[in-house]
Amino acid sequence: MNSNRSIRFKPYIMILPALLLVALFSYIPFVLTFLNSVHSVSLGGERLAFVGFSNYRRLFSNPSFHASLSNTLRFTLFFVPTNIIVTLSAALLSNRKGWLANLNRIFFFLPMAVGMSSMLMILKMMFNPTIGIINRLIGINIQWFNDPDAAMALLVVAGVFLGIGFDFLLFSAALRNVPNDLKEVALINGANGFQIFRHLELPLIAPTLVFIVVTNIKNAMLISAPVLILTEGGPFRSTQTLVYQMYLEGFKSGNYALGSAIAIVVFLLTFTALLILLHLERRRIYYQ
Amino acid sequence: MKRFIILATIALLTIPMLFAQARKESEPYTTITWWHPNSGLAGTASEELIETFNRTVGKELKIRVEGVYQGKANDVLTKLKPILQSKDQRDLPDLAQLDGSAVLDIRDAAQLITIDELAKDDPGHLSRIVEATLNSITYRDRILAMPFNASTILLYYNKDAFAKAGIDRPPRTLDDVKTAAAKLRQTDDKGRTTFWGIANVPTTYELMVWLGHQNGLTYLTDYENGHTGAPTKVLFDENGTMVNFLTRWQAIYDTGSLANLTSDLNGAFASGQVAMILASTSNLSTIASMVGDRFEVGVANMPMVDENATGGVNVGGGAIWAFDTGKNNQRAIWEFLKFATGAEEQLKWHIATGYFPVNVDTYELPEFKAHLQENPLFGVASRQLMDSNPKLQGLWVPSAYQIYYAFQSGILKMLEEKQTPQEASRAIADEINGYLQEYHLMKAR
Repeated sequence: MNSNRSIRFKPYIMILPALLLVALFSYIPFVLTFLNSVHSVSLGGERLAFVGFSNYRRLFSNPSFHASLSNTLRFTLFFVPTNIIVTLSAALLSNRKGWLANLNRIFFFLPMAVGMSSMLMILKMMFNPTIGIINRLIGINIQWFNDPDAAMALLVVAGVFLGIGFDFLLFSAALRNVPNDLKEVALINGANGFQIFRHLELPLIAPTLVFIVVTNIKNAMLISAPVLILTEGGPFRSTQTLVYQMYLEGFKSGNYALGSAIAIVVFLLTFTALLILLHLERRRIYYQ
Repeated sequence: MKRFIILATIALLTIPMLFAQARKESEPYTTITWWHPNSGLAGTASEELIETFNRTVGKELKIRVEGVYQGKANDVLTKLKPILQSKDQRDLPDLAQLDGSAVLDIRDAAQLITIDELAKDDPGHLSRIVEATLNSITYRDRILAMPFNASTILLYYNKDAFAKAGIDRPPRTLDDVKTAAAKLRQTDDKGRTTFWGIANVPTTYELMVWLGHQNGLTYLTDYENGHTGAPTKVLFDENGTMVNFLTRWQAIYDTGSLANLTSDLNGAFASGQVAMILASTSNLSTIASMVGDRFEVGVANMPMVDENATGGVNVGGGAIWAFDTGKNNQRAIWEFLKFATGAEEQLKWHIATGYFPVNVDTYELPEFKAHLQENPLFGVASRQLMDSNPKLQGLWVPSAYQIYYAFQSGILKMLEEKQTPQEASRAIADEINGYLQEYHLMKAR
């Protein structure tokens, strides 16, 4: 009886530490954030009165929020395909034998070893229109921090650069797991490189691809660090994303109610996007 | 969430304190910390200031100052706010150097020690501080902080380009700016501008002056720009100052010689892409060293919006705020503040950075006069301020970041989407009124 009970409780005790951490860092803050978003909250962070959805109503009529929403969606739209094409090509390039391929692998993986903030500071210097090396190399005077389109492009470049190491690693591993004998069979049957990729490798790495798309969308919707360090939302709010505006409202202006409302909106948007994607995945992807 | 962050921060910060305790007890010194945003030339200058203090006055009075660079002025504020809200005293710095955007967040903090309190038994020193700088940090008759890195906005211009375009003096009004910009503009064979007359997208910093100095003195919001209470609405749309300004700004844009740059303006100016920029006096040393001997830099008063705009400029920059850390450091704090704003130290600070001296005695020092003679550009800033209406004050508003972008985006929208100045003024006013009302929602129960 006694040992029986301890067996019954054992799994719960074992997940308790993880559960506590998740509750402490995710669930409780989530509930508090939601509560803040339907209350008026003082500068000191105390909830003053229940106001229903009026924070959301004010938010949706705020021009700054419109800008954030469209910037975030635009960024996601540019970033996700760019990132996947770049990291997948890199993985394909280094997916062969020989020391050159190994060297490639190291180079593509290396960015992961650099701290995010320091890398962004370096990018900021490199893209400086007057003293930066990028404009000098390409020979055109692009105002990276003054032209809204260039600033958005810069964010995408920064995003890809930050993500390349990890996504490359995942693609590399997936590509290596494609059985070699299948490739040989395809080659003997006269398939060219593209056909092998399209009909053999792509279906087999599809689960990884979906995982990367999902995490990329999540990362893109939540992008804030590059904005904070590189552009501070400028020029003219053209790179102000939802999470950056949340930071502005919540931490710079002390407007916790509005900041929380933005957080909830970001959560719902990201969550919906991911649900749709996971639903598609279940119908289309076959695991080995 | 917030409480948790605060608790975690406190936990992280208190652990090292367990170890620090042993060292402290053997030390007869009172140690005070100073969080500051000074980097580059100003960073070196503030390190020297601390070093001099610790070596001289500090040694005598057993006070030691520790400077901590905390990022830009805004970052200092971001780091300070959670500690103030946690009502915890131990993690507070004794001193924090902040700019005008901090006033709203800090003026009501219980831990704040105002300068009046610090100077209670020793009021002599305050009479030596430039009055306009004290006014600039006074809220409802309380001097909130000690003016330290005071500056005003200036017009920087490329003297060589002006001479080449046949212009013999810097513009006095925005109409002059328009005329000069048109003459300065250079284009390539496809008609694209290769050299701009002026680069700027006016926002809070410029508009405090360009709206404020109209008709001698005009406030941007009620409660005198927030200096007598929390503003509830803007005034610039009702009194027509914004429309008046925007009409003239549109005219400058129509010359094709106005570049809508918002970042790296110093770089664009120094590399010879634009003939005029507006920047703080504190950029003087930096800009001069960036330009080197490529061309001769000139500085002039901020151009007036029109002939009636006689208010001049306001004091910008920052001040040092004092906090009660529960260690009874008031005397040490006051000694250091007196030292930092003393005649000699303000002279060194002025020469190193371009911030103008906040101590009236500095202006009488022979070294100051000699420096001015060698570097006449430095004199323009202080003369401009002396000629200004001392009631012209900076804008103290909540959501300063959003308001900054509201001005900037609103003006760009007018220029690029062909709005009338009236429409633009209305739209900017509506957006900013929204932010001002947000603040009152956060206070009312």
